[in-house]
Amino acid sequence: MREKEREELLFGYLERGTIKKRQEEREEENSMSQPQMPSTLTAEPAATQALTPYTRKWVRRLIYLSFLNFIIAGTLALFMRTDQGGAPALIGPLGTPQVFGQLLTAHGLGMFVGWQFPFAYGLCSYVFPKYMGRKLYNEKLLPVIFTLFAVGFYLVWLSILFGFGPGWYFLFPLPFHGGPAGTAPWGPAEALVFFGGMIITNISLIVFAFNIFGSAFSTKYDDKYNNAPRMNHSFSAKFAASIGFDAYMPKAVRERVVSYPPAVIAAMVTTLDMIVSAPPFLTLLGDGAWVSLNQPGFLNNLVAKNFVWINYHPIVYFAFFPLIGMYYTLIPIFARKNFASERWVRVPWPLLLITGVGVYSHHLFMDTSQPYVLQLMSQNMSMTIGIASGISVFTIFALIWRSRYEWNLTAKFFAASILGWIVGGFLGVEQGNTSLDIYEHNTYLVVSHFHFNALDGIIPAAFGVLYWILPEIASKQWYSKTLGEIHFWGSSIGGFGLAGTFALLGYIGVPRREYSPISQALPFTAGYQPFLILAFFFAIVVAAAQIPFIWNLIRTLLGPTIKPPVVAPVPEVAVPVPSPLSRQSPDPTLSSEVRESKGTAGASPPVSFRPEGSISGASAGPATTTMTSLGEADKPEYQRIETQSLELDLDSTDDILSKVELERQEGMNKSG
Amino acid sequence: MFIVQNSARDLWVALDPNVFAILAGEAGYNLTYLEVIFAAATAITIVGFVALYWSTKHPEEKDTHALAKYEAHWVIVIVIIFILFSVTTLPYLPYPYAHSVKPNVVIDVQAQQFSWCLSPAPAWGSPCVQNINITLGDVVLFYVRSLDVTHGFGVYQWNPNSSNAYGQILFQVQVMPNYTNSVEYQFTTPGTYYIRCLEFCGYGHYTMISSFNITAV
Ligand code: HEM
Ligand SMILES: [Cu+2]
Repeated sequence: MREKEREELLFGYLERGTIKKRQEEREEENSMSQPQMPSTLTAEPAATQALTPYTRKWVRRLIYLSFLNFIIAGTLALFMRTDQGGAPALIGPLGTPQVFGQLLTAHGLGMFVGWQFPFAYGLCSYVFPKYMGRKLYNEKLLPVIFTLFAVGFYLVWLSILFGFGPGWYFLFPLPFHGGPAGTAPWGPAEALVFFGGMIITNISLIVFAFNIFGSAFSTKYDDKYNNAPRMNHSFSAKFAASIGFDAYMPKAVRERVVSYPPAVIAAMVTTLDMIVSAPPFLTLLGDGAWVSLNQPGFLNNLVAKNFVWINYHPIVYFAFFPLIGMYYTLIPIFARKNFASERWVRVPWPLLLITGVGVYSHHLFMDTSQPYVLQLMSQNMSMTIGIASGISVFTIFALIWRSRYEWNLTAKFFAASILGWIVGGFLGVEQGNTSLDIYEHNTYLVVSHFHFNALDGIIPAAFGVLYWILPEIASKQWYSKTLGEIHFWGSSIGGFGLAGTFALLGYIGVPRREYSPISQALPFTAGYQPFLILAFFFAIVVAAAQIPFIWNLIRTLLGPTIKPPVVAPVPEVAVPVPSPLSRQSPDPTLSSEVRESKGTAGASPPVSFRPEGSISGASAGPATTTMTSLGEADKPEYQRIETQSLELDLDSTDDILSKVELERQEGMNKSG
Repeated sequence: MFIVQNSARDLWVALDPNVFAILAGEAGYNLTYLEVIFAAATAITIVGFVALYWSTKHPEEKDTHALAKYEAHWVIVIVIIFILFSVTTLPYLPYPYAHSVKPNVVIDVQAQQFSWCLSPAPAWGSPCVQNINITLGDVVLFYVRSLDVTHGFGVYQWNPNSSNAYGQILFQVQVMPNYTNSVEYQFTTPGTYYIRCLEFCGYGHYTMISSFNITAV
């Protein structure tokens, strides 16, 4: 009953009468279970003023853009599967080997750049205000990032539309030599547009990184990360904390460093990886543009291949890392308990930071001219990724184990995503081994590996997060829960079926990236047919499952706007946002009016949509983490809860739910 | 002295003379083996997830972090697994320079969009040959070069009479213009071997297929 109820609450489905009744049941239940609840119960932080309407607007635009690209890139994949299934005639003029090259390029880039970049931009820009309580360093940069990205990336797709098709990692010198003389489907003009577009896309990344680093390290914020008494606030301490390195420090040092929330650590790690690998990649892009202008190139092919992969490996993690950060943030909320050790939560991140770039040479294992020292490094780094993932997965598993886990839609998507991460990881470990890669490189096993990790790993995690944050960032209530369920089951069955079929194709040795894997010249390839058909079938299932999602999203966005979070006029004092005033805030003489407005701000829609959400200040961080910079003694949250529960008007479902939640939380705070 | 001076491979040959035979003759063995490991690991994971789901239906009254206690143990286990995995596969490094076994035969491979040409060394660009005569047991070194873009030299074996309906990949190496890459292999069965391009090299990539015959001398 309880689980179901929560789900219904999540989507705001309950009738008023039912609510009253459930509310009573719930209170009873709460009063019974209270004493057993761990006092470190983790809960969603209150909506803070740091997450301004402006930030929310651009975060949601970035996320809409990302899912738009996802749908387009996914449709392109269907065409590829049609070709490979042996029925290119079905798609008419699209069913040619030339167009296949374009589809391949547009799909790969569409997913890893077109989908991932704006999603990662949006998510990372959301977690700083949300979980660190800091307004973005400069939120006015968000439209700049958005525009640069959109212009750059659509130029990339445009070049592909006009024929450019060397695959998403465009190994030099293929971009300039698309075929034997006179037959290349594209020329230097398309290549130039492509490289230009990629350069602009990367400039958006640099602007984004500037904003993220500013948000993480700027001294302009007046909050505990900068000012907590007796703590070390040097840049190096903050840097170490921002990548989770404090976990490795001796206790005496660690205790003087203010830990960052895991969602923020994840955003930092992914951004750092992207930015350290950007210079070689930009050099490569510059070389590409230069050669397209008919000038002599300055990079040799091996260096060029190193420069592409040193950036492309971090790219595949770009949205994945922040989403792992969201596992660490939301799963404790669903499990209603906190991690056994905050240290284990942080341990994987420095490893992920180093390996994110350091594994890249595993894409060059089959190049015997690559210096062995790099191969050896990357094999070990690949294993280290396995260890870091192993730690993360275990930590999360152990948290969920025998908890009162709330299997809501987001939790289900996360579970699918973690499964994809693990299974894709097994294949990654095989391929990350130099000696085994000789059988697996450039076969469908690679395709299987990254589809497990992307289609069944990153994508479901992103859907989970989208279902969770959309009410908050868009002030809309999800139109239908059933459609969400269909979306989940369809995507999971199709996605795992597809990646699993890819694995079967890989183990029988089918090369990746072939327009037609079955060839007269190779008698043994006839046996591929059933698998290729199966892959086509699962691809259709995945695609079909996106229809209810699109429908749901459109209806949701067209639906009524729900109570936009109130931005209280006074709350410089009340809100845990860095501002010169916030330090004086523990002012007990604060008028109840002020407190009320503060409370209302706290009860913004997301809170009411998420029955487990509460407005306690505790984030997924250690118990000492509070969203405020007000010292230990002040308990502004408590005050807020009390005033709020008195003031709520019982007319709307949301409010009732918030009230229930607030009271529950209050009880909990007392008992804790 | 012998062991110290020579490559990791020698160490393994010294310990187990059959290692090399496994590498050379039964490459497909590795892949099947890996497939089984992958399937088993996936199955265990799924069971783990089902157990996890079950556990949430039987929540603990008081949270004891029952599993979390074992985190350090778990890390030790995976570190050991990974070390073993790395060490045991090291002798099979796919690089000729890693091995002290010297090739008896050298074959030049030239790739270009969208065809292959094999010729006996050292005649780069000499007439391509279909049949290569080697003494069974000879160690063949392929020198691969490209005239235009990057290709992948992948060699497949298929025995119509065996249970292996799909053929199997024996080895591969990237073919990068301006570099000479190489791969070493010991053929143990005469017959037809198929070459497939294993790096996307343009619209005709999927047609870049060839074959050669190994005839026992
Ligand atoms: C919507 C379901 C999807 C389907 C049906 C699908 C299908 C395919 C197919 C058929 C290929 C070509 C495989 C080959 O022969 O080499 C491919 C390649 C690829 N896919 Fe997907 N895919 C899907 C989702 C994704 C996602 C979510 C991502 C990443 C976020 C992704 C990233 C890639 C990449 C990077 C390539 C390689 C392109 C290249 O080789 O240049 N795909 N996909
Ligand atoms: Cu080729």
